[in-house]
Amino acid sequence: MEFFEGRNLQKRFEGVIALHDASMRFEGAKICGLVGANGSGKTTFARICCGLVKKDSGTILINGEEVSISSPFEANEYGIVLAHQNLSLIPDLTVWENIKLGHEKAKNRFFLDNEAARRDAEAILNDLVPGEIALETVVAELGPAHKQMVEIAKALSQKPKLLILDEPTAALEYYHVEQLFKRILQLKTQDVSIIFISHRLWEITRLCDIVFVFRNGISVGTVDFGKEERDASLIVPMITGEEKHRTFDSVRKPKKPLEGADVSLELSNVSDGIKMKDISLRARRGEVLGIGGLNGQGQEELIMAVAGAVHIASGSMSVDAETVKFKHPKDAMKRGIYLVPGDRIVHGLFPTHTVLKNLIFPRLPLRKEGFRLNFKRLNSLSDDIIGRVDLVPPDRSMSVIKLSGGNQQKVVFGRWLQFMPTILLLNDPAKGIDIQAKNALFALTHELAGQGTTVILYSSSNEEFITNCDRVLIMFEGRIVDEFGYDDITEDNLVKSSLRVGETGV
Amino acid sequence: MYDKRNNFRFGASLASLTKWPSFPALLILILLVIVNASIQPNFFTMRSFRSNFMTFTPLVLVAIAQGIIILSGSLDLSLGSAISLFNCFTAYYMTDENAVFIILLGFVLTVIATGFVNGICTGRLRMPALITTFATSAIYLGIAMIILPVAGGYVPRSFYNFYKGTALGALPNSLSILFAGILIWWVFSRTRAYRYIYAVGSNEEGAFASGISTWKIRLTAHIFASLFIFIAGMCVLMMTATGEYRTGQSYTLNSVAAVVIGGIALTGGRGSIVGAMFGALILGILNNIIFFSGTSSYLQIFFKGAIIVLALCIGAVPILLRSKKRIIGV
Repeated sequence: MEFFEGRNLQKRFEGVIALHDASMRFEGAKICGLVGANGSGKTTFARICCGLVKKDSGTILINGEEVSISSPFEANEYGIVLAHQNLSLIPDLTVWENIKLGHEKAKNRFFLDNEAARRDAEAILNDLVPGEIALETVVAELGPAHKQMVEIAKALSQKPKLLILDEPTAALEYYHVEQLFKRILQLKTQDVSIIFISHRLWEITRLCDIVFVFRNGISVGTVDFGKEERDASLIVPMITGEEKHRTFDSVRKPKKPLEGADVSLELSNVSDGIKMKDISLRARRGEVLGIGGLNGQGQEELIMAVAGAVHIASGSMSVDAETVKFKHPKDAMKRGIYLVPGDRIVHGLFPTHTVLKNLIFPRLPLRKEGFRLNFKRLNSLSDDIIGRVDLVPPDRSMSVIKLSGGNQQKVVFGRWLQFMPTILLLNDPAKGIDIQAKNALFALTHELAGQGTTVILYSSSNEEFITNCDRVLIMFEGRIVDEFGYDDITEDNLVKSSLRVGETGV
Repeated sequence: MYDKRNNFRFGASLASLTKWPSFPALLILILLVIVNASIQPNFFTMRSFRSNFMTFTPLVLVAIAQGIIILSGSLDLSLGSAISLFNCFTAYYMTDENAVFIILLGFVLTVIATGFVNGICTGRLRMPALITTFATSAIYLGIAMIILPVAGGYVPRSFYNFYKGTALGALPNSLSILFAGILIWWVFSRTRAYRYIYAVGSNEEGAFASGISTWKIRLTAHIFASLFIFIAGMCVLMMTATGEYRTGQSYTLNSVAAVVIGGIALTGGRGSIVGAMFGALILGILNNIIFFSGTSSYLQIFFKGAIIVLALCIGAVPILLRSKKRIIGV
């Protein structure tokens, strides 16, 4: 592609700003890196360029002319093709059918030319991963790395002029990354421009000609490797933001001596056979343990495994020095392990029911109530909880869906308060809630921790780790790769460790 | 890998046969044919062959129709009523002179009812297929009842004679009609639209991201299926040679049962029409077996249901074995 420019792109999703003011501009066949923290708008930008998402404002120019792209089909007309991160493959079709999907050629105007399609797909696959993927395999049977390769092959088969790769390497092993890089460099010589999205900075510095950095939906900077050094430290400050040395001491929870406390949760070499690999950790009573890292590195699986909702394939887990094997979330609950799930509406609440029903519901499966429900007692019980979590409005007969996000989350929290949890699992509890509710929830968390509850916190925001945790573990590709004690929990350390700065490959 | 496949072609094809979603259906079918042959006198005579296919053909055709619709991620509970409507409409208006014209009108009616109305509602308007087609089913049946409240009407004798006749001395005409239907399906199965039906049924978002207009594909599936529903309706008309609003009713659930027994996933996108055809033959032969076993008519329905449940269980075993891995998704 001669010349591409996206200018001041903006996009909101139901009130949440995904892209605020994103721009990108390059000339000629270049490999452009696009980096930014979680939620900085990289994927939204890619989806706008390929017509999957409609922009609210801003312009896209190709070779100096403004174009309107409103569907993937139109994007293809301009030669813009996206290789998806959340895969667009059809699980029940074969590899070659998927590679040609959407742009099959017909002979005699009617019958599909399957022979030519197979040949074509095979040629593309052989350029990418020679001899590894059989054409007739059904995609559902492929592993994640091969699925990603088929996804890329599918994009390549559309003969793109601008190829957007959305975190293509996240699912790939080192060997496949090398193969992909070779192919990308080849494409560049064939006059194809590439936008390469990745979290791994060593890949960016190695491969790209120019890097664009997004933060909170705004393009904050560019590094042109033609003029500047290939050095990740030029990029990191832009990703984390200028105020990376800000201190959180004022709101930080005080350091707590935990050495003497009993170990309440211990995992050794736990794997789920899919995303989690060899997780070993110990958490003590009263400890707030953070599980950090980039999105989707296995943190949620870890939390769900402790909650009994993900099957543990190998390794062992013990609670209060007793080996346990959960077959169902109720087994975990019986041991006092309670979960605040990541999606409160889907997994945490009965949204159309009242606050009262939501608060008392866990009492029923946990057999805390007799056959007849004594509503007088339950009413006063729920009023107690409502008072403790400071629900607004303090009305137990209100249906939960009408509450604000923060107050909904208070209900999810509140219903575990009545049981005095031994382990409280928080899966990104502050996502989409206001600052007051967030502070109130973490105050309650610390109160529980003070009474001896072990808290495991996964969060998409590093600030929550800094203000709340006694210790933070960083996960990357399903493994725990770093550990920071209380004094080392800083934004700088967490970001660098999450992005694996200083690593040069697997 | 690919080379190895070619080298061990025989072994590979045997293994892939057992993995085929229609394989359990094929096994059950073979088993039932043996049972049927052992209890039905003259099972292998021309006469019973011919009379069997008179009832099997419409069943297989509606199974093809339902199979295509379910593969696209939709469902049609109205096809039985549509057949009834076609039946009553044609029998009521038909005379010896205008037969061709009336059948043509009936064809258009069927395509509009089961193709366009159901397809637009479930595809474009994204209404839930189960309840929508249940409702349209009541509408079609209602119209049929208004047209012909009591059984009757007129169907030319030649229709009936043609349907039970044979060509070339050995080929029943009903079977020829079935072959014609299968041929139409085979031609369609080699088109772009047919592959997109699988894509939309299997992963709608992925299909959209690949540049496919998903609602148009769902509409195409319904319209294409309506062609088979029409042919099935013709068979029923020729077989019964009379108009009656109850004639089509049993085809709705039988078509769904045939599709499911044949290994097509009700969620769409997985399975093959060949399996659905096996499923329809299984249901047809099952009826034979129950009839010739001399079971009292009170028990027939019970046994039929029990055997269908059994057949479904056999299909469910591999799924049960596979889904042990994870309790809930993250």
